[in-house]
Amino acid sequence: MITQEFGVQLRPQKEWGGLIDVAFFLGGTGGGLFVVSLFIGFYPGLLLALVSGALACVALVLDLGHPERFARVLLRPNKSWLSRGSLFLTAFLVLGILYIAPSLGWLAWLPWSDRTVLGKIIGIVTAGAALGVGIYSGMAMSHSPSIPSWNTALLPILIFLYAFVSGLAAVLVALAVTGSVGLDVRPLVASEMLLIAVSMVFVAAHYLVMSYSTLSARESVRLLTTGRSGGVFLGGGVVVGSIVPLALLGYVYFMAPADPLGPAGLAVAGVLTLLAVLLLRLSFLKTGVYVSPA
Amino acid sequence: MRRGMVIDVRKCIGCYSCVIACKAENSTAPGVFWARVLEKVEGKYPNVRLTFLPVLCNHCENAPCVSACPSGATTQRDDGIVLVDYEKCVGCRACVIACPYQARTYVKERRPYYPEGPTPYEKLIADPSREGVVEKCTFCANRLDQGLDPFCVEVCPTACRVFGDLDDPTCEASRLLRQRHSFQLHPDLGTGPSVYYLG
Repeated sequence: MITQEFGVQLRPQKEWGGLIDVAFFLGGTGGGLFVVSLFIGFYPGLLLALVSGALACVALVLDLGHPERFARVLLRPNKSWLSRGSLFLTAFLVLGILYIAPSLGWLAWLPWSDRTVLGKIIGIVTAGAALGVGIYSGMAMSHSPSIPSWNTALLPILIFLYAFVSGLAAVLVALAVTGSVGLDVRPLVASEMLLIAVSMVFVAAHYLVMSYSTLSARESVRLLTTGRSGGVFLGGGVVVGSIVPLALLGYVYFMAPADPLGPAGLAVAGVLTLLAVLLLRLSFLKTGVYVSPA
Repeated sequence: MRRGMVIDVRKCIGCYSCVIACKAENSTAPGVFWARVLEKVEGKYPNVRLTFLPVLCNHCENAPCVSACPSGATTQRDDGIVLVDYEKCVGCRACVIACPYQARTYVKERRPYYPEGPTPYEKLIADPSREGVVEKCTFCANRLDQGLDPFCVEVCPTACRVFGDLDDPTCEASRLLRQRHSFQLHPDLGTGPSVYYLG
């Protein structure tokens, strides 16, 4: 017979795990990457963003108990954030493909390009959908009155911020790999450093507030710091994924990207940052603790 | 009409009849409990008291699981009962996470109760539509539609559970709520549970 003690029953959620973390991460990274790439006119970044979005779709579908019913997820955008997110993701992929299609040689006959009004409109609407993809996972998590550490106004903002942290990190990696560091990357490096620093402040503020909130919120903080997710969060997310990239980016910024170690520094910092965002999001998911049922 | 349940905690003796009856009536898989009984030890030796709190889906008026469901599988009937349509559920578990009462369970696959394989009874009640979906208490909607009470109400030996239309002032459940001090679980979350407890 299964019995539970009421009043102090604190249980971390186990319903959303690794695969949905990958889906949220890839979606957010794709969204952020698309917006940044559109802004700086970095074509490989647009392609990479769509690939990331498509992989997010695959992960989302595979995470379902009934993947063959995926289309039903789109049915209730008036209420469910998962529905809204799936629609954002679909719009992002369809419009994004339309936006870059004329750049592919055999589709150059299409009556728009990134220089025409129609092309610009498609680009802007796609960017809007990409922003939606960036924020929906945070909204879906915060739409849970049962998990106090998620049910806050700061969490969606933090997740939105992480979409840009990882999106910009992917741009830096792509620039380094494609040998395009000749571009003036210092503003991008500075933006990434700022975003990482701001997100660290947000995470600290969020969990500091949680540490003097309800019992289950405090349990989330305990799991995140000294509990089973402590290693992933502090070791992977904060030290290896945030502080080390900040130091590397600082080196690249101040020593100038022309430094022989510049592209390698950018690539390593970008990869570590991407890994950090994946791990941080995973630790947020894993440390969502339910309120006691009674 | 708003169907609901009133549970007199002082009458509950922790016999778990409701838990067993619920499993039998609804053929839930191993480890899946739509009805549970929580326990709490109060006081200090030698003056110790064991208190029981039967819990189940609260069929909330403002159910977070309904708004979290992206597929329209979780719906609320006109009488307030929240149901899951297994044919529509995609198994995203958003409703499980949204429920503050931990009243929902995601069943990835139904394992047999015994290592030798499913019993003849399990073969008889096998329902493939209940795999990869979320389950929860239905207030025995099938029994209600036949004019019967939920099975947990029927089997309770101390009659601590009373079921009825909370909008009908003449029904026993409404009368108890008027006459006795009652409470709901997590009223602060604004979910409007349809399960009330008499303290």
